[in-house]
Amino acid sequence: MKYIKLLRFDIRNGIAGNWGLFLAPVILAVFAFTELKWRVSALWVYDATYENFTLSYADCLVYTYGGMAKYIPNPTNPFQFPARWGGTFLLLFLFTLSYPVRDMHSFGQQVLIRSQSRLAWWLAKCTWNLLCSVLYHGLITLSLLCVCLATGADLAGEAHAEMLCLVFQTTLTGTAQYTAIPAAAFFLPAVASAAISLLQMTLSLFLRPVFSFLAVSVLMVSSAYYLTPFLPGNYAMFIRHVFFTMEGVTVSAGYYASVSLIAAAVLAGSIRFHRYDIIHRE
Amino acid sequence: MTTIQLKKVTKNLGGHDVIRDVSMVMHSGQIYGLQGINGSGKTMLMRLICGLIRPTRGEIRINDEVLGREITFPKSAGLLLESPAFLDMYSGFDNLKLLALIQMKIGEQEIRDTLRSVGLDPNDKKKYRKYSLGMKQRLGIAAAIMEAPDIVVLDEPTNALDTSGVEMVKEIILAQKKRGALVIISCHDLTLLRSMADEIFVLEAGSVTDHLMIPDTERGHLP
Repeated sequence: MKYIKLLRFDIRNGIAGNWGLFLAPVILAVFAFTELKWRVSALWVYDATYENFTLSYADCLVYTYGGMAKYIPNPTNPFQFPARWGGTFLLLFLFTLSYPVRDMHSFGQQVLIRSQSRLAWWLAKCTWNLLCSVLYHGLITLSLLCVCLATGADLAGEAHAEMLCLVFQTTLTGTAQYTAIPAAAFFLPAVASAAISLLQMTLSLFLRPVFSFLAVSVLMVSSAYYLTPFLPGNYAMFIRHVFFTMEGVTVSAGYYASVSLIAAAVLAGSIRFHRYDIIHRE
Repeated sequence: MTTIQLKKVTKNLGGHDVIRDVSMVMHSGQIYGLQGINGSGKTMLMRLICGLIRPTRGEIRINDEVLGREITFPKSAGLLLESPAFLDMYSGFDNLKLLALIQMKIGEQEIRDTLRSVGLDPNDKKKYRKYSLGMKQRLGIAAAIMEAPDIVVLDEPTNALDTSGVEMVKEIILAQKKRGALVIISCHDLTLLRSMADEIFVLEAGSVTDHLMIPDTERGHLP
């Protein structure tokens, strides 16, 4: 009961009260679509058919959450962090960190003491965090769908793997026989993002909040640098999935890793928050 | 009957004792003053009593239940710690209503009455972000007392208030005492504290350096 009340409070103040911040995913989606359209039209030098290419909704989703192809260190190929992809996630992480921290050191203290339960307060914040991730990525997906509808893109069509590989400057490896991306894969960036966001919130109980944000920023950069299933940012990059890269990550591993990370972050946070000193540290 | 007992409480933060070996006993129906300069440990002691931070050594008992072990927070406490913090986008009334919804102890009428008692208009639709410092302070006091808690903790309640505001705070504090609440107030002004408190603990560098029992004749007079 306390948990439900606290969650309603967080939804009201942490989501409904900050609706302006949810404009960002709409802008990001429009920007990603425009960028993809421009990059595909520039592919005519490889193939003239790309000049009037019809994008599919799946293309747009893969491009938005594409990330970058596997990086192979080479003096002639300097590492370039995929800024739009990274920005999409880091913006969410900034938001999902700032509200709980701000709340804990202001109005939330009154709420916490009245609720009489540190556990209910923490679990409500974790649920709020998950909802934020779902809503944020849901808005990106929905905005892309609207843009596709408005521009006459193919809504039902599958992703054009060869075009996407050209855009991401990679080649289809592995099976070399590209198969359709399963629907479950399209939810993975949101789930992986929720896991990293919760990890960040838990880290903020051990480190100063600014350092917890820096830690997940480093995690995202490392994920872009190394293709490994141990860095969860890889699950949020479509171009690192086995559909496109032989040594890529799998959807099932992505779900296992993300759900495990969510469970570990919630549990570690619950234990830590039980004895956490609520003092303004920043 | 509420009793707060601190037994040799020490709080260490970053290798430094911000509260050192503090022992005290407080009972309901009394006003306890914490006096000391900035950084003497008044707010930290209040945070310990509210359960927001945990002692490094020693224990705090509220009605014989150990805070942080048998209970997480005092079961009935209202607090104003440091500067009041509310939600910018709501009015004072809406802020208090949100808080009252958690325990469901009081309804809208009690919230209106409390707002009037601190000199705020319950029908004022002005958003909290447009409140003056004095109005914010009054709202903070209203939040602390509206549910008639057994323990009232007020950190520098007269901050940002004019003379009439200070008089109002004093009346509110005395009214809390009259209804049987245990009131803890902090203030760096010893003369003002003497006019309200039954007992004063003087803090210096986290330790209680003096314990003053204030005679009845001294109380009730503003400086």
